[in-house]
Amino acid sequence: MTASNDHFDVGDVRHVEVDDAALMASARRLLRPLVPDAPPTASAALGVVLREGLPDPADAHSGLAAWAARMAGRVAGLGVAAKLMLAAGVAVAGVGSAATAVELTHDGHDTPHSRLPAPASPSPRSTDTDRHGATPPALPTSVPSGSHEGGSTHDGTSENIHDGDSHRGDTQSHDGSSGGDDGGSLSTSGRDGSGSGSDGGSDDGGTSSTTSGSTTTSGSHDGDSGSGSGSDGGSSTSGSGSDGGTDGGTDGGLASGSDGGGSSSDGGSSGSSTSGGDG
Amino acid sequence: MTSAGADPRDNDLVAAARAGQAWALTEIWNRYAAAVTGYLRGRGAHDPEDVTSEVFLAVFERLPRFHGDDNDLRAFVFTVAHHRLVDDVRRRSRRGEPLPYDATDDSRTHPSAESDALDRLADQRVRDLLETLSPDQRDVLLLRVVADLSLEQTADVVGKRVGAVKALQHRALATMRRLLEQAVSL
Repeated sequence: MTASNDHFDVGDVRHVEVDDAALMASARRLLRPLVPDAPPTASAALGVVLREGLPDPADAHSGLAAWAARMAGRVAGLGVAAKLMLAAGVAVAGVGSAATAVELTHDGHDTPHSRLPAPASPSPRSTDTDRHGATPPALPTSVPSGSHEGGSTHDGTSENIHDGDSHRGDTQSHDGSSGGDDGGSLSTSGRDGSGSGSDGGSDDGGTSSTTSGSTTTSGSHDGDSGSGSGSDGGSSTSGSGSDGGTDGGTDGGLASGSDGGGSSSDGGSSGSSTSGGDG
Repeated sequence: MTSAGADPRDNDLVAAARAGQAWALTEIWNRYAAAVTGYLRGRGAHDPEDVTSEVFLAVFERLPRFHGDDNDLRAFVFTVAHHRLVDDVRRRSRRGEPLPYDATDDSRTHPSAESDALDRLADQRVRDLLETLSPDQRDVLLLRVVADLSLEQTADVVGKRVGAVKALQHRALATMRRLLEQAVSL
């Protein structure tokens, strides 16, 4: 029997099944003491279930309470080290969120300050407040306003003025074309109008570019930035291209001229609004 | 091979239990709890009665997703018991084995507990006998004899093929017979 145990062949099962039946009966008698005569005493939790039945599955498996109970059970089952690590993680997350809140609060203080409504007519004071040191040193005071406004007016919101100062202001001042485009669209705001209108006013003279107040301040200084916008303003009139060439001088001449011609439609619309006001 | 009779209430029982009705859960407890306790005791569970309650709590929790008749329900209950037992063994292997209770060292023995002590000794003898079997053989023998499962159901519970279960059962019975013959000859 021992040998057959060591090298058992499943095919031999049929030969020993009858023998196994008798052995099973004796095994049943042998193992009978293991089984109690009556069910054991149910635990407290099971007793509640046996008395009251299962809760509604919809209630048991859904809801925040069930989830919270499961999570609490899992946390309770964790070891001390795991609990410490979990607490450390929660603390780090709390510090991070607090730092974020502080940062947001700072931003919140800044934002309303920069969101002061733009004055109807551009003034040196307003330009200074808007650009915090973004003024290029080589340019006169009015120039930065024009170039910056181009950027700020792009979005029209003061929040972006901050960001736009560096980016948009620069690009516009360099590219006569971009400045021209923006200047055209910016026409609504007084500050922008100043930047854009500068060229138009000087070059086109009375014709189209009446951007007026703005024009007066920025004047023809703008070479670069102003030329772009000026091209717009005057673009409606064919003279803008030529004006840009003459007035723009260095780079503004070519840029504004080309832009002014191309964006005549855009500049026309925007420029017209500004100029109308001025005229 | 199963002892589950064709009780006309069986289908109602499963349906009512799936719906969580208390009478059906109590009926299931009364039918299978003793056998589950015997199976757990034979497999060496630390606290068979307590683990039995855990097993039925798990069974009742999973009942809404259960599909089958009464025979399947029996196999389902012992499947849960088998898994719970495996968890119990793993848990104890991590935390260390508790010292077994020895009645001879306990001076608090009450005279009225003598019969209990004798029963416990009888159980211990059976458990010693089962200890000579491999874990797989013990599982198969207890599921076939104590839980009264068929070969197919036993194969499902332990996750083996029917042929393998037959082989394990044969070896277990042969070992037990040899041990019994030795005990009789002594």
